[in-house]
Amino acid sequence: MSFQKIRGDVLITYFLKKDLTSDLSESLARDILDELEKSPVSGAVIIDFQNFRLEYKALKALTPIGIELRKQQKQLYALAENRYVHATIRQEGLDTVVKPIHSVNQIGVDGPSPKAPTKIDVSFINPFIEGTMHVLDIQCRTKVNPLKPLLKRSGEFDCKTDIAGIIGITSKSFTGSIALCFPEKVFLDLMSRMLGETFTEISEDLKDGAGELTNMIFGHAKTILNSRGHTIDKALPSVIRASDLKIDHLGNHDSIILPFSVEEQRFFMEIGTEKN
Amino acid sequence: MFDPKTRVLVVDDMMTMRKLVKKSLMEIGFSDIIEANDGAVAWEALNNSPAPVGLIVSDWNMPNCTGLDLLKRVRGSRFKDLPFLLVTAEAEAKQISEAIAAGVSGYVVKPFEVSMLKTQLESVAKRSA
Repeated sequence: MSFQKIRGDVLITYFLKKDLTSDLSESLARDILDELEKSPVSGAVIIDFQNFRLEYKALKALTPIGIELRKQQKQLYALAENRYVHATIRQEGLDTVVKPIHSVNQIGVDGPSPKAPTKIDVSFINPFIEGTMHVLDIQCRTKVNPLKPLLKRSGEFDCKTDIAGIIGITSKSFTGSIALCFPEKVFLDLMSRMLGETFTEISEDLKDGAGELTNMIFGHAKTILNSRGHTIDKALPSVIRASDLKIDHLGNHDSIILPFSVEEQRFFMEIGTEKN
Repeated sequence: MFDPKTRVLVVDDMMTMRKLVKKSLMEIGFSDIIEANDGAVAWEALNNSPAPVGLIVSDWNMPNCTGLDLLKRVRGSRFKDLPFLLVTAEAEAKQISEAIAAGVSGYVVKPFEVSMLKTQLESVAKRSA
């Protein structure tokens, strides 16, 4: 076996014996599923990378496991000293479903710590609002209206998410992620307009459209913010598709919700950032 | 402008973007369009295409081999004079300068309208003539 497993009452820990490739990740994901089927874990699942590396494609097989665990209020952790492992997970925007940690002391098996209140910084969020309006206008020929931004913790905004494009934000001063979240119908309408065909379901081929829209909006905002002195790095988007998806962002902070309306329907962007 | 019979290689890791670029190129008049999902696959396609590729339209941010890597590889090869257009969300001056230094023929920032792509292709065709 390319990994060793230790199962306790609270945690299941997998110790890797080689780099985590997509093949190994698939067999690891199958093993985790088998374990969870045998009996649910009460705390978390940890993948201890030792000093091994992570192939970015390997994250694909682990994403559904991370989502499933989160639905059960549990967490999948990637324990690694290697910063490359952390950076890869963050760049893929998957740090909420596969949470990178440096030490087991960072594991909060009793649930997340309370989040500190965060002010809504207009100069930071406006480029994302403008970017969303601009990208959907040009690429999807759709006019969208921004609604009042709010903090997620306020609980004042509720909108079902069936697909989300996620992109990690890294810069010298802060890290975080943005998620562009759509109900199925809004996403299908936008894709139909963008590609000039009528789509009635979110196929494998179509779902990367959520990542591409996120990428364009991020690119727009990044250009504006970096021109003001930020140092936001390039990043590749990823897509999460699930019914009634909930997004959470890494860190002890509060996320900002940017809601939009489009022809009496709604979608939103979530932004979560934390100072380095 | 390019001969509409020109074989175009569209490179993007996102299927929806390849569809969008292909649809836009067809609106402009191109009909012979082949696709690749990253720079490495594009390089294979370029070398193995039965009919010669006359234009590359590539994304920048792709895993494995980026559009910039592909551009540098093309410029250092027997395809060095091939028109190469980058279609990307990277709009910062630093990135544009990097692409120009690597020998890009034209640059379109996403999101884009068909008219923007057409205008860029016209300039590229003029410079390549």
